[in-house]
Amino acid sequence: MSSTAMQTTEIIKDNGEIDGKSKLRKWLNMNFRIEMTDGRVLIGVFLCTDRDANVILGACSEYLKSNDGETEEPRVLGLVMVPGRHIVSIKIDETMDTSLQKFYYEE
Amino acid sequence: MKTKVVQVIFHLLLCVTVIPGSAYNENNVQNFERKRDIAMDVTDFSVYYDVHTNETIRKMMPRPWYRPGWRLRLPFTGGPCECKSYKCTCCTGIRIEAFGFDRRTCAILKFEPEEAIINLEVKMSNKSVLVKMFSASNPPPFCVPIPVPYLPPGLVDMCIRLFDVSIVQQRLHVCMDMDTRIDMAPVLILHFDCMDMGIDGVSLSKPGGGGSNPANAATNGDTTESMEPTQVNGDVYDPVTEDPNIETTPQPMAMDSLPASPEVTYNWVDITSDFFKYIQDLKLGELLHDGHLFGLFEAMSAIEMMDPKMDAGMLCNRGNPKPLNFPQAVACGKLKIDDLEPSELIGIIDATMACIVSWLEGHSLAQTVFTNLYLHQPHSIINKTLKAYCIAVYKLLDCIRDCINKALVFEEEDFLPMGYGYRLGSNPQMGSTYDASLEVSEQKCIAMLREQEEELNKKARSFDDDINNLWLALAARIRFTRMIYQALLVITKRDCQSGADCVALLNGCSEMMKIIIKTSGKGTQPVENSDSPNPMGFEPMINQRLLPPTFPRYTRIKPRAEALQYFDELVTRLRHAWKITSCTNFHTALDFFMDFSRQRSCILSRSALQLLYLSPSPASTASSAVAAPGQPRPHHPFIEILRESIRSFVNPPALTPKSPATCTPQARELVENFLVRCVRPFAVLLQVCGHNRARQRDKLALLLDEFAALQEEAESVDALVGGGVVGGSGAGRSCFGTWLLYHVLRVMIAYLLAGLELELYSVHEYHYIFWYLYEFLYGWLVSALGRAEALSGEAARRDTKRGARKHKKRARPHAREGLMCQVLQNMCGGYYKALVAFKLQGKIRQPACAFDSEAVRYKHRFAPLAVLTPPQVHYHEFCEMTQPLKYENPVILYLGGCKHFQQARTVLETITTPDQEVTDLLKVAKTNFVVLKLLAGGHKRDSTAPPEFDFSVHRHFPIIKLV
Repeated sequence: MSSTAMQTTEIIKDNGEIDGKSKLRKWLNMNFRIEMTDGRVLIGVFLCTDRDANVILGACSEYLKSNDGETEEPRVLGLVMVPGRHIVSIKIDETMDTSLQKFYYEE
Repeated sequence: MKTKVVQVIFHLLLCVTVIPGSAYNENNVQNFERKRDIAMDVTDFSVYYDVHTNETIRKMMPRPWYRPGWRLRLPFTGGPCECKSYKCTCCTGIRIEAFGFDRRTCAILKFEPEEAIINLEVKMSNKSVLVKMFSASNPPPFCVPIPVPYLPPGLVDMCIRLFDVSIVQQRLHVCMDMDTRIDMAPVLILHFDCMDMGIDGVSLSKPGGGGSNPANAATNGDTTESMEPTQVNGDVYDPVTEDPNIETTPQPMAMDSLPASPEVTYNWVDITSDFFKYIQDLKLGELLHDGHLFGLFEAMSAIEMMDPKMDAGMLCNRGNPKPLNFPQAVACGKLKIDDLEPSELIGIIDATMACIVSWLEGHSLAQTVFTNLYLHQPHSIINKTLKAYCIAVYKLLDCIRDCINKALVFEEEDFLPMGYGYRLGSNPQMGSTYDASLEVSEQKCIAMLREQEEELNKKARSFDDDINNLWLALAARIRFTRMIYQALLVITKRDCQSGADCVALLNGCSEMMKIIIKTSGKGTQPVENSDSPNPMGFEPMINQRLLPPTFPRYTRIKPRAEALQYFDELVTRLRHAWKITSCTNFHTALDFFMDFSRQRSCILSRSALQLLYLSPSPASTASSAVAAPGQPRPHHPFIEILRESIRSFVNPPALTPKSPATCTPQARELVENFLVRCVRPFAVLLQVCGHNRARQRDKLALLLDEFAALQEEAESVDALVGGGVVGGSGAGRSCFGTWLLYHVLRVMIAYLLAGLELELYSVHEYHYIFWYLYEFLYGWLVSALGRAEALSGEAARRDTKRGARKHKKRARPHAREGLMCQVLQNMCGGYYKALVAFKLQGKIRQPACAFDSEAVRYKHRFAPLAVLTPPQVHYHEFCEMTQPLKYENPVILYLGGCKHFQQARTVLETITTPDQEVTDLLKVAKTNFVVLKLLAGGHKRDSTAPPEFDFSVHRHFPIIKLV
């Protein structure tokens, strides 16, 4: 678990509900890796979500779950909406510097 | 500052140019310097532009999934063209990070002056991906789609566009654009310099004849600004690194491995539980998103995962065993590539034909024909018959696609031209590997099929029992394939063989089709309830992952019997289409086009008809008609066709060779200019007739605008040329105007009638539609025809006066058409009166007045008619003119309608040699006559049950039924 995750839990403790939203907002435009109930993995940019955890990913690619470790060619999907009930797990990419990724949205 | 530059570029969708990045070193500086002066502008995805004028022609809504800002980067660079004698090489590096695409692409043009042929070769990272030959003598712009092998096929492709092609004294002038398209929309458009190749050296010039136009200048202005390397964030615009070695060391590439793009490493951190915790802070229905780039609209256009209708990938995953590809299927013995039984071959061929039909009905190649595994590696098949057949299928598909692409009369619902990475051209195979030794020319393909035919016939002769039939049946299929391929080649290429040949080939096809249909039961049949069209060789799911994200997830292949029937009818249609070649007169040709369209022909026969009438096609004739100012007038055979059409219709003095009106060069110039202006609208009219019925109506409306502009020109020509002729009656003479008016009226009528055919009007609207046709359009048409006859008669008298007694008494050429107009006018009158009477008797349901405005509806229905010389009749005029009828006795109206139908019937019965149209109309007129008679007699007077309008006999003129 990285330090960010640690921080978030602290924020929650301090400020209660509002910061759930602000934390989600921080994740916007970052790379998400979502595993679905049927085993497929989607990697794309987190764009939008709602209370039911329906997630919209932009520039999304679909990866089939590989049983024998080989990575298969992804299929480009573009803009997709993943219904919350089909999400098994969500991972976020921490490699990129957040400031670099998000420069479009800064004033 | 950085961000601002980027935002300006992306958000304002400006044209931007080469931008180097911050990873900036000596080497790059040099690269950059070298490329700085290249005239090249990149038009962002919102913009299409016209290659001739460089003007934006329409804005396009960017598809939400490649909106700017989502880590989709489009840096690019293009090199200058390098020319040596007859060969020019233009290179560009293109990188689209989101798709892991980074390639150096070169287009190599070779000109062979003796044969006037351009050879185009496209190389990606030194691998040849396309080799094509063009005749340099056809000037219209054309586009060669290049599949990008390492990318999802259909999603991204490239297009080399050669335009401004001309040869003057063995010097070739050609301009080139290279488009990178995402989902068929150009994303990048690179202009290269125009090339001049010839004996006395080569030269380069800017497109558009030298001078840089304002649009370019503006772009260049932007360029310099954004080229400041320090202003741009290196993460956005990386310079395309061009490895100098790349030309000499080709990298091996395979279909199933992605290009070696810089390996992306992720550091995934699980946030599942946090995420699900945080979202609970959102209110019900609240969306958390980035306000200024993403909103509900974008959210709505996302495809929903795990929805069976939207998620094409779901099916691949549903527990089915992974479909086997060709080598796997061969290895495990599921696919025989040798020692096939004739019944198996027949089964495979028939199933493939069913797939081709499904493709022609608008499904994708990937889900139809290329579910056939044999087509994945045709060269690996050992059985010679099957190998020859599979290669021929590739060639046949290519030819069909070529034909349809040339004619340009398809919409997305008719036909999907995408190839999904299957190389259809001269080198039939799948994937990115290119092996020149596998090249199969047209002749070679035909020869292979011929050889198999003989072989099979020989085998057929050696057996003489029941099995004999099978070899014969197989031979018929191979023969059919060869002949249809040859026939389509003739139609598509037009120049290679004689016409009689094609008729003979098509007749042969028909005969073979009879045998094929008779023997369709001899082949292996699909397993019941199976998705596969044949037990062996087909994997319906094999290409599922090649499909774009939103795609109909499953295509049902047409049942075999129906598919063979389709082929049979297709051949008949092609034979019918061939008859256009004997239509010398434009009017007869136009009637033929309209008649052909009425039969609701398939896309291939519609396209073939287009190509058969005008070479290369009406579409290209239309687009080449607009010459850039200053250039010599394009000369096209279509001008002569139109000239002849005018001559035979009105015979204006300006077009008779010895007339005084043609004496002044000024007058001649005026007439010629007018004819040139006519080319585009009339070519488009032919093209519109080739579209499917549902699309024609809107296109006709657009065409009316163009005709309006032409009418003005016709008037001025008539005023200057038509006036000063022998005899004093010049005032009322307007030859060109009459000719144009006739066509405009026909287009207007076709537009209004199309609404009936497409069931766009509700019953309570019928009355003003029929009123308009009855009171005005048909009446005008009759008088236009009358005027034309008078004019041409006058001209004939003029001729005879001069002693040229060519045709003493010409039969009235438009007699039959005039009669038909009267018939239709009467029919419309009949309907109109009947409808008013129905309305008065309360038999037609009217919309609730609170939600209704007849004025608005009326305006909407006749809006496209507003722009032209026959003035539009406005709603208030309609009200004034129809006012008296509101107080009429319905019985009198019924009797009036009755009389109209009676009149129509009488005229119809005088027509000698009635065709289907006449008999249908006669039936409608007779029935309606009786119905109205009954109504006039008081039948069902008090019933408010609405009458029914039955369009089953005639698509425009219904039979009135009382319920």
